Amino acid sequence: MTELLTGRDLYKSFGLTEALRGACIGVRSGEIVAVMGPSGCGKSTLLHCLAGILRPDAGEVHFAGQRIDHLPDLQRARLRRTTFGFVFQFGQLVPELPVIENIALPLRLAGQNRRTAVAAADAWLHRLDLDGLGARLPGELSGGQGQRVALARALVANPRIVFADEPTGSLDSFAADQMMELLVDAARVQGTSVIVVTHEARVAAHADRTVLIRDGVHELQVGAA
Amino acid sequence: MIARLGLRLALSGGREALLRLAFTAVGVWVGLTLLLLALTAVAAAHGRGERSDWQDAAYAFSPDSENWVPPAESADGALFLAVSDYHDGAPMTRAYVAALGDDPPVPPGLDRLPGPGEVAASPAMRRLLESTPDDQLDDRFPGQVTMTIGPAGLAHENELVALIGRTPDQLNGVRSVSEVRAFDTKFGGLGLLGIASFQQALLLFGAVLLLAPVVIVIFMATRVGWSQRERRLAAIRLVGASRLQTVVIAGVETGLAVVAGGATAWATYEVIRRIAAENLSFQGGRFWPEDLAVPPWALVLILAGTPVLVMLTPAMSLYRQPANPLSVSRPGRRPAPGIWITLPLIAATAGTLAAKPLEDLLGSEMSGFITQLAVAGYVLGFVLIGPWLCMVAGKAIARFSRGVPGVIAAHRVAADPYASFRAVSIVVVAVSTLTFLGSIAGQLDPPDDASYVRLKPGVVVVHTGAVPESRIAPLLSPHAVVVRARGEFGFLEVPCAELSRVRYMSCPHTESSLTEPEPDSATLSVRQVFIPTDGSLAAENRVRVQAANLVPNAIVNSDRDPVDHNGYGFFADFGRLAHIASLFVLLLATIGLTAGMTGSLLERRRPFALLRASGVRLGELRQIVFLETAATMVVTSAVGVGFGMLLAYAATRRAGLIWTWPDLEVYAYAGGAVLAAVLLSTLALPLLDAATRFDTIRYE
Repeated sequence: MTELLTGRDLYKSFGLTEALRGACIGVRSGEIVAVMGPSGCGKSTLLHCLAGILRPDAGEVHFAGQRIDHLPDLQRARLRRTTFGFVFQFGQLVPELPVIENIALPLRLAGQNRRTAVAAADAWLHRLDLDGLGARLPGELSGGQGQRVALARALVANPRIVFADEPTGSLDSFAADQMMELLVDAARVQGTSVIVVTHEARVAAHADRTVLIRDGVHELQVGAA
Repeated sequence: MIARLGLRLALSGGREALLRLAFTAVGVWVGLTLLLLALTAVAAAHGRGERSDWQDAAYAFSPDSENWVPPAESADGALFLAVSDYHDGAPMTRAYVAALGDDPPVPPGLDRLPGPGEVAASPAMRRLLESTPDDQLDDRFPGQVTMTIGPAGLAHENELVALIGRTPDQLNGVRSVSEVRAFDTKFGGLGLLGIASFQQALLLFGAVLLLAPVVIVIFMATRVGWSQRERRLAAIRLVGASRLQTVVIAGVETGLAVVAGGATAWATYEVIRRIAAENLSFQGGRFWPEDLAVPPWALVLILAGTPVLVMLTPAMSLYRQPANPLSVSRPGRRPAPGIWITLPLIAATAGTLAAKPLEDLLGSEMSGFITQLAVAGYVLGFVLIGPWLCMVAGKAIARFSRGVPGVIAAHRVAADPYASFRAVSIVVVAVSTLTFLGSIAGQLDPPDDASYVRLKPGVVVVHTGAVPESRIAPLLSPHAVVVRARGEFGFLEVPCAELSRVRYMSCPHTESSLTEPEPDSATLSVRQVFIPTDGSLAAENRVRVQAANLVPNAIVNSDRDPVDHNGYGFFADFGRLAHIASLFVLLLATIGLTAGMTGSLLERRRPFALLRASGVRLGELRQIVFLETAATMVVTSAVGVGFGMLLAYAATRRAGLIWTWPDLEVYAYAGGAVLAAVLLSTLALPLLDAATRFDTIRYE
């Protein structure tokens, strides 16, 4: 099967700190890949480069056969809005917007009218067991609920790939398992690829394949290749 | 759609978002209102001066004048003379004009020149003429009042001015009469007198110093909650908003507050302007309503330009800072300011010191230009040097403090000296302005009473210029004291014993310009005549009438007149204005500092909350904030005092005055302002507790 997303020989430095030193990775359509490694090994930087949030200093990122690391900001923003989804450790929700509006945000940014966007968001509230929380502000949610809202927002635009950076990092083990199950189930149903960065083996266990990163380079691959 | 999202974010972001919005709007309202009122004051002063500038036409066209000569307005010229006069202590202008052809220039407020035998008078003068016996006033204005001078030619509605039509023969040979080709002396008028050039200098320096705090206040008000907004926009960017969309969202929020603040400022300005036009009397009369207004183009520029500028600021900032999943990524630590930043200040100081000596070489215009460049250099230099001074303050904290708060405060200041300077810049500008105003006021202390020519009660003095005795014979009563002179620059010859009968002085002569008469003194021309009267206003007025008809250019004074030798009346007015300006600046500084401290605390609430969460006590947190604010404020303000003094020195030299060091009270005043600012900044410290509770920043 051809790879949906590939990163080849990626290098990225922040000042004197080399975060990536020739990292390579590939993700197939519908595949769930975990990226593991110790703190500071460059796994989050790899994710950000793959998602077009950061530009690598060297190397190439291809998505669906198109090179995306050289795209102008506007096109990368469009990719994030229409094709990619994101879940991060602290949700990154907009504190002023109620839950339902947070979930509908990618659709509204894409130009959908409010009614359609909110209806789509409402369906996700139900799927992720968030019924009744639509009117709440992010500050009024528990950590687990906040992450589920972030997951709903990541999936509402029916993305082809979801980037998750330590999505369970702020959750207890029970909530973390629940979160991963929801993420994996939703991805499977939609045929969405997932690339999840984590340092927890129990989180990585939900993935089809695990990639280990150490000192900015791809070190080992576990699972089906 | 994106604009609506921005509107929604601004309006439905809960109590804190609304407070932030209100804070910004209030800051913009106060800042813009003060800016509009300051510009209104400048426009009013300018308008008033422009309306009465025509009275300086004779001076502008005088062959002795080295100043700007106005361009000709008409084919023919006119002979013109304007003389200062008084009635019961009230100043008035008695002007004479004679057309030199069919197309003479005409002063503003009239549609033609008064012909021989005609008098044009201001409405106030007409009323005064009707209520005063002819032999006391009317006879000073030979002819019939046939015309009324309109507002275009009057400084204010109470101005006493009359323009007397004469034939050219009647004015030919009268001292100080000039042939004028225009009455529009607008531009030249400002530079006609030494005092006017001083006004120019004050306008230039004052405008820079007074407008700077206004701009800082507006900027600070719009920066409140900046960091939260940046984080929120980063989150929106993450889910796919383009840069343009985030700029629109940020712009809508800021724009909403700025538009609300701007509209309120406009309404406030209109209300205050109307109240002032009805009630504010300055130097003898109310301002004309149309003078008491910012020019329409400036009003549009300010009201439309401020929102655009304020909205452009976040736009520029967002374009420089791309989105990052965890927050807005910073462009990295800015390099520490180097020693090169002192260059503009050094160049400006050199320019100030060199401007006066260079005047002889390059001329007054070039010297003035150098001074203006120096002012710009000071402002630029001080903006550049501020962060460097904060860095020095940070090092001082590190050197002298032993506890954890000192170490943290020092590192915080050193890490971002630009932000530290931004927080205290309003105080620095205020201190500089206060020092400038205090230093300038120090140059204008009125001279000792001894240097005034103080007349004894009932005495009227006629300054004739230099005329033969026969010309003023009717004035020479037996008790009159005549002062003669040898040529234009000779000693004034008068028996001391006689002079001491009519004015306060000591004998023998102690004044260097006076001497006892020589034997041939009786043949000399007469410069002054002191005429004792019974002290009544009627008697004084009759002398004035006589003098005006004998020597039209004579200046007549009595002890009723507000003597304003060398423009000291203006200096006294300036003193009052300086106090008003100081209050204005202090008010702005208070608002700016409050906005700066609140904004700074909100911006750093997360790192402070994390420090608190990691065991730093609230008291220590307060020490950190106090140390970094107080230390940077004191260091930068100390330099600000020097900055204000340098500007005052430049203004003084530009005006041709001799510089004297300001009194101790100026330093005390500036020091008091800094102390008050430090105390004021501690008022924000209680906010720390609420702002840094960990639950309040959980989802930021």
